Amino acid sequence: MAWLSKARSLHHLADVAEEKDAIGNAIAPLEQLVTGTRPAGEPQEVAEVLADTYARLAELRTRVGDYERAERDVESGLLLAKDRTYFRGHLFEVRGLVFDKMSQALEKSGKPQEARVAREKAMRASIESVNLQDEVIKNTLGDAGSVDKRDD
Amino acid sequence: MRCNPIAVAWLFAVALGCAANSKRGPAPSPAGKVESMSKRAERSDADSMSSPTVTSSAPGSDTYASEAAAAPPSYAPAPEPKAAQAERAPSAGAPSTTDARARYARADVQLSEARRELDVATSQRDCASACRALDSMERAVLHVCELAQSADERKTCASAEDQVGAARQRVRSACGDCPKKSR
Repeated sequence: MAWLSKARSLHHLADVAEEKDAIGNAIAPLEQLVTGTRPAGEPQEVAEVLADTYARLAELRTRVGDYERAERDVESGLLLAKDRTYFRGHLFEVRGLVFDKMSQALEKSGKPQEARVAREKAMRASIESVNLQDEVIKNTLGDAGSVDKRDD
Repeated sequence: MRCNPIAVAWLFAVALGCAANSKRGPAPSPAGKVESMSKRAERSDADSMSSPTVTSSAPGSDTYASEAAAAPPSYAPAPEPKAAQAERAPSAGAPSTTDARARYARADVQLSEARRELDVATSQRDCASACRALDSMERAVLHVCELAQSADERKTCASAEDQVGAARQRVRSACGDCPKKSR
């Protein structure tokens, strides 16, 4: 599919920019991907790529201190990854990171109360990610990795 | 002037031959011939799957039969191909049954092989997904434990670490070690 090929190219451009620590240049192609035209019907694979792109955008924005937009990216990604999949779990993992960094920034700027709230949000998001990914692993491997099977 | 009777007979035979050839139409081009040969080869392969008796017929007889079938009605029909005759012959039943069993056995082996390959591919894909989820889980647990301050939060951290430990064991038992992360 042409769209997936385009998505790979844009992520590659982001990789190149990220390697040079040019975060703004890494964000631009990813924004182009999430705001651009999407294939008709939006197949599951497209939704997953977009959700993953939002997660990456959120990580990049967190690195430059743009926490509010990072959280909005997480929200947008979660709207695309509604099922309990790796992608949803990864978005919660990134949300944990966003709120953690936000909490640290708030602490430094003398706002302990807001920092505490952000830290609690980070905790909740990270725990949600752990639970989701645990579920994904169990569902993916089924009996293959269960302790009972190994002991047989 | 007296005519030589032998020469007259020869000329008559040549004239008859030319008339017969003109009814068959132009000679096939070399390219057409190549195509016809390759088609025949393909057909022969296909026929050998569906009816191995074709290989026992005269080479090319089926090709000419099909050309004859496509010709205008004025053209005399070509003799029935030996393959078709063989298929209808009562004696063709016994070898066909044997061949059908052999073909079935071959197809069964191919099906088993395809199933095995599918299982391997599915297992590889599942392990890649499980490893990716485990990576994410480990990063999230790290976060939880870095953030933990109160006794309750430290308990949560310990519990999450146990959870990731069990998941790691589950993945290792099904997939072995996960590949090192590139990013």
